[in-house]
Amino acid sequence: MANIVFDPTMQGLADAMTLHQRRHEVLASNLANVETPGFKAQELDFKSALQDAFDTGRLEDDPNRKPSLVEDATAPVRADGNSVDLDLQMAKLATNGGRYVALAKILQLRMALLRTAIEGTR
Amino acid sequence: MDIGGTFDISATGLRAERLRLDTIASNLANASTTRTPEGGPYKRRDVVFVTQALESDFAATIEEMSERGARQGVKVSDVIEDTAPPRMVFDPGHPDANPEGFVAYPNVNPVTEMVDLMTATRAYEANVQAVNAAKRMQDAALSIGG
Repeated sequence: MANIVFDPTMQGLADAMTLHQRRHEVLASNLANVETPGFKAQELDFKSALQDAFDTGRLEDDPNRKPSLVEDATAPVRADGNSVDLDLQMAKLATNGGRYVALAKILQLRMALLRTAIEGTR
Repeated sequence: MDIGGTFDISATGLRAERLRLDTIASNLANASTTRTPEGGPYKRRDVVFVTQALESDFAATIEEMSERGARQGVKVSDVIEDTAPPRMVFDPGHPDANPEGFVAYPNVNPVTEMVDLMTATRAYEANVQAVNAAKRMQDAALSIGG
């Protein structure tokens, strides 16, 4: 039974925000190690978990389905063995932050909707 | 789980890059230093960066087993001296000239140092941007209720 306050949409939005925050940590790690020899750029792979969910046809909550931390294979490796591309990481950082703010805004609007329902439109 | 932990990662990057800037500044300041307490000319210094896993928070480690290794900070493991030979300049009147009249100047190349300086500055700025992004995210999350 769906809870009136924490309905699936709210929960989904909250989970998505957590995911984006995790991804920010990964991207921040990459940026911190932009000059560390041998460091390989990391990325949160959520796509394969989602694809897996589609393939198995089970989209409901599965605690075992988590984004996995993978090496970012698309990035070219520098002479010192480091594969952090500054431009790419900054672009990802900006996109990730923007999405997080958008998710927060949607959640905020849902809260406002709930408030309207509670207080009425007097 | 809190966004404050995110700042830790970027903070390690900022600290490491600042130490690198300090090293470059030392190299440039001593580009012509022919006398040091250890004897001989100043030797160019360089930093060695290594990753530093930020997993000290026990509860966080238990909670996020699947994402272990996601939080990788950076630290300066060592400051090494450049083993390249000194630059020899013929100047018999110099008090540090050897019997042949050559003075050993530091193995500091200002061009290399300036390139390193720019790289370190950009890396520092990238970490600042990561902190700013995290701050915006935090502000957005805090504005949900109101």
